[in-house]
Amino acid sequence: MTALLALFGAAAVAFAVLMLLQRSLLSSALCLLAVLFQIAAMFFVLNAPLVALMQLLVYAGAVMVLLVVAVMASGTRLSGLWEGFSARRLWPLAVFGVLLLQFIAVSLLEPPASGSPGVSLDREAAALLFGPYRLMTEAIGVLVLLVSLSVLPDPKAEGPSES
Amino acid sequence: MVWAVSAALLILGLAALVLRRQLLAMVLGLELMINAANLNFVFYGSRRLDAAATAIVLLVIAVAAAEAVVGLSLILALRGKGSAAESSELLGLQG
Repeated sequence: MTALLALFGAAAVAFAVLMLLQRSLLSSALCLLAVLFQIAAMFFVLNAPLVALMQLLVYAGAVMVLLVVAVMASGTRLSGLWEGFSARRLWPLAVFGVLLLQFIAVSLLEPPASGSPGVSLDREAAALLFGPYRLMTEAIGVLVLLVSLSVLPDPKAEGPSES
Repeated sequence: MVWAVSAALLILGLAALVLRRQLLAMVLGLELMINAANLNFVFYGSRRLDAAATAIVLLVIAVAAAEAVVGLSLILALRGKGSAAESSELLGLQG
């Protein structure tokens, strides 16, 4: 377990350094995606399978799609990806090959049994979220709803004139 | 060891927030810092078998997703107005 944590942690820090050094925004976003995958794997090793799943679904899925769409909409140059590396075409493929191998390795790990500490922790967390913390959970649900409404375009806003 | 990874990620995220000028890159650094904090929470929860840490992480993930949506929509709105969406351009507020 410690060796796996060290491996995933070192990979996360390495990708974070790469993210900081990249000049292209899309390359930085891809490196952040790799960091998020490593952190999700660390969550899984740390007996938090529900948080790892949420990390993959919400962060590596939804938020990263938003980030990449925002980067593409901001007019990034695709031809400038991975500048400064000699094997720049092979570099992203190698990154995602490593991620694929990591997924296979994590999927080969023993899945948490129903009575394991991680699963019981998840159950206790769910009981907390819908028990003593229910007001906070409801408030965050309302916050997410308000956010999704606030980013909708205003129909009364001035648009391009049709006449 | 997980503390060290978390601290390194936090420092790298802070460096991205401080050193990069593009607003999108600053958002990336912010997300990295939030993940470093989440890693600390999960490690603490797994060591102490504390379910509250797991619950807090789930709430933080929801809030961080909302924060990313607001931040990115603001940046895209800035881009729509012709701005380069860089921190050096945002020097004042207009009422």
